[in-house]
Amino acid sequence: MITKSTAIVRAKVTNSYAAYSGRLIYTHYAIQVSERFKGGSQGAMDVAVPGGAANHQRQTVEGAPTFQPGDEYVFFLWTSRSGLTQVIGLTQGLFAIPPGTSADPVTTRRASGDLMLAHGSAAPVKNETLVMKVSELRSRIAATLAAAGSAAQ
Amino acid sequence: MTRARMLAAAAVAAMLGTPAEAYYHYTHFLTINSPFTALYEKFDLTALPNKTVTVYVTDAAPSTSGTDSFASVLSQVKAAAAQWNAVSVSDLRVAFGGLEAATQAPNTPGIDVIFTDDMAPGVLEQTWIGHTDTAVSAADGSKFFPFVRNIMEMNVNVEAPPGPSYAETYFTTAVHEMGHALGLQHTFTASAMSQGVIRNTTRLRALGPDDAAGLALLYGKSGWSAAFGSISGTVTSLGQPVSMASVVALPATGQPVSTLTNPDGTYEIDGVPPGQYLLYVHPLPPDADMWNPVGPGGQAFAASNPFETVFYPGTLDVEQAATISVRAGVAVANRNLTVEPRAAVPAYDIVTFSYFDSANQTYSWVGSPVTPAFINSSQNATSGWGTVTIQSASGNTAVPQSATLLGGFADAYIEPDGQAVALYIPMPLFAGAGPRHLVLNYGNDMYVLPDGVVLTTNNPPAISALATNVDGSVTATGSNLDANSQIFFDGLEASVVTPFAGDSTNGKVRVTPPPGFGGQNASVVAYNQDGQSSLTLDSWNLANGWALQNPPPIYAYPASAAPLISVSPAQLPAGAFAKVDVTTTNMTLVDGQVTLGFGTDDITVSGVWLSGNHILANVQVASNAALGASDISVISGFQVAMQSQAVLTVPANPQLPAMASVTNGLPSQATLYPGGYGTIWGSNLAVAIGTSAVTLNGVPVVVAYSSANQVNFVIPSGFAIGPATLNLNNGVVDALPIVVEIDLPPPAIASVAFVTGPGPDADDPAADGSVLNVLVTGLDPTVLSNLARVSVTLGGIGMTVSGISTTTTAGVYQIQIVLVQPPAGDNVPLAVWVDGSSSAPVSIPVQQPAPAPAS
Repeated sequence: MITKSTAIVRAKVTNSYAAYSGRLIYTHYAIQVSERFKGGSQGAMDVAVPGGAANHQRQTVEGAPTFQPGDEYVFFLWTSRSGLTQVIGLTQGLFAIPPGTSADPVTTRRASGDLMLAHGSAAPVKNETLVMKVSELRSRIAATLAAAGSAAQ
Repeated sequence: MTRARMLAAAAVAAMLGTPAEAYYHYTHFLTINSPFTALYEKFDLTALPNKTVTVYVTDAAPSTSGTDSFASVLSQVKAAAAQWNAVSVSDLRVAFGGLEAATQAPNTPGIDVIFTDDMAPGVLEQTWIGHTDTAVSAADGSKFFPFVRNIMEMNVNVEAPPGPSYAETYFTTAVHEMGHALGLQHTFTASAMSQGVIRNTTRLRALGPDDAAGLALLYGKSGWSAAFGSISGTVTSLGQPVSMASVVALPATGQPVSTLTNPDGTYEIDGVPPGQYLLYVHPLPPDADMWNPVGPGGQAFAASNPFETVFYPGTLDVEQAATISVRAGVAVANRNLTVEPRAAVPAYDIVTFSYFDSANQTYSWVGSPVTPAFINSSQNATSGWGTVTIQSASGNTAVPQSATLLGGFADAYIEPDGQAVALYIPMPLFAGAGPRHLVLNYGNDMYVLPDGVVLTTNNPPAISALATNVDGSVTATGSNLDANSQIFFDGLEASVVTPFAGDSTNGKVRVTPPPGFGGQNASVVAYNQDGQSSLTLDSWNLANGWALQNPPPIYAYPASAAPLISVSPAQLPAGAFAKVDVTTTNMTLVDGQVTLGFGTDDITVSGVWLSGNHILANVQVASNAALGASDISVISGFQVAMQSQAVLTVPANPQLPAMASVTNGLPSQATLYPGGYGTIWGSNLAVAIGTSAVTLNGVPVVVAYSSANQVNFVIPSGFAIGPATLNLNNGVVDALPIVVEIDLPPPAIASVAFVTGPGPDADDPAADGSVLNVLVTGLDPTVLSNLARVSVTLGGIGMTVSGISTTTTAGVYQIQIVLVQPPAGDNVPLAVWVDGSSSAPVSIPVQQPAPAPAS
């Protein structure tokens, strides 16, 4: 998931709007980035989540997350060729950070639903609930990226 | 809708709403407190032509290579639609419409399949459920949120799991996603709507009763529930209601039906086939991926925290579980369950697998992994053990204290095996075949996996060779094929030319490949009724997206020119009901395998007739159709021809006579036939009484009566059987022509006699249980291959048709019937019906049933 992501950022949700993209409605969340682990931009980013309400119609997609302003996550993001930036695996790429003042808060990723694709093999896998501190997550990301960089050289 | 408006609506609708029997649908509740009234998201049948929702596939094809093809993908989507269309208890019909432009924007609700590379990594396929923000009222006063357009989004790379496109998993996943598009959410019963990890459906068993019940609750035919029972009750924990608990009615052998509890803990499982059931309740797994029900303000109702799984009346010991008898039309109430809270569930995403030892040709503990787990009960009954491995898809597998299969199995011997757990299941003699339910007991909790293990009495089939015969047919040779094996070329079943011959080690079947296109490489797979296929030994590789050890043999279609089509007329007014003539070139049109589509849900095909290289069809254009061009596509087998933006929908022409339907002039007759009357219904059919003129295939016919809304005409005696073009002039202007089917007249009854000899007559009347031979003339001989087209009534009540055969007299057929609770009388009319039209009746005497003996 780390290598598959085009950006991994810690950010807070600031606001949202929904709009059609072709036949599909996406809810676009503006997030304010406070830390970049991989790629991304320093200021605001736009994250599209499948589903939403527009033009008196609503579309829902099972497993798609919803965010509230102020929610904070470590986002594992992927930008498609068309430029749409989404969370990897709907909720697979979301590590929630609880409100508080902790310098090193605990993040949680909940288990997600249907089979998902593993990196590399493209094999369907499930993911389990993960709990770890932001510092540990930061270290894992850095180590994985370093290893991937070494392998690529 | 705002909360205030929603609450106002709730006040009106509370007495009219649907009782909240289940919500593995997309559900809204009118209130946030009990009693809960459910409003479902579903298609509005009144907004669909002929209550039919059409599935269109975008003409922006996915990327394919190797043995994958877009035609193969289309065949799988078409097959998935056919599965849902076949749910007999549902009033909703599901049609496959072929191709559409990605930019098409029809006004009629529908389902689209699109291919995208916009899907984020980690998602195989997903379905977008689209509905209006405002609820509407059904004819019965209940309210619902009508679907506008639901979209199945599939990976543009069809080789990735659940592909490749020929794979059974591609088909079962398409069935699953289409279920979402019809309004169903996840269940946990191994049925089509179960999550992928615990789903155990097959190509030949694609839907279960749980799926049918779910669909019937949304779109059930009038009186559908009479053939089923229901179970209801309440689930509580520490005195509080348990919300979104999954309650499952589970037969010892057979498929379960389930529901979820409402926020007040109440539940009702509907659509339960009659039989004996255990009942258990389990919490939603952490990965349920449900769209939770919402209240009037849009707030979601949360599922309760984890709790223990228990069998009714409250035990973890399946031996202590109570059996519930379910009968048709009978509601079993007050099956209440009390559960204890738990911090977490011990298991929820268990994958089962077994190993096939190719050297010894047996399911064993070595060899190729196979999922789901199979046990050959005929072999393992000898060895004494069936071996099954269970593994949590998300990591380490909790080791149960005991494990068993329902249906007469002793406890398994359990052995941890790395992250997995091996179960050695004692096999009783005559264990039989079919899916079996796995029960894992963890001491203070348990886990039930319906259909977790499949018993067979044979090993998986294999195709060792394909040989093309001079007539174009193909002979498949292999092992473990049998008379019920079905041979598929990608997603299409091949028709059998010469039935199976041989034995389990070496047998063959000769089939006709579906029409294909030059250069196509179709993967040929044999499917057996027991759930095994010639891909079973590669099921683990397919599930993981790995290279196959035994790739299926390939049938390479011979070179052929590209298929082409043209259509006339190329312009249709909104609201029209009209004939179209599609001319095909370089296509093989096979009855039953042709899909004709007009690229928009606003144009519906209501009848198709094949004639040489022509396809005649009647189409209905919605009165509110979006104006503009749309694609036309013809798909025959794997041959796909499309003309982009070839048909133009133009504004309605109010001057035109508008034919809406043509029926027999006699309401009791369902077909049109020579010598009979036809009635055209519609508007503007005559400018004045008696001004209409009608032709059939250009031949003027006698018009007995005509008015603006009705025209009665006579079908000439001796008129050719088959499709005919019907033209109408209202006295001033021609209507758009349509096609009508002219059938053979109904048969005539020559005689009725007991199977044992003469009679019945006044001295020897017929009676309950009598077997009669009815001799008829003029019977359409094609009914011999489809007896369902024929029925026999006595006093208007259907009798059992036990057979139809020719006789030694040419043109005379014998229909044998068994009288079942016939109406009594001296002259009870007996009639023979074919395709809904009846013979002239004859009368026979039927005696009163004998009085019951005094007790």
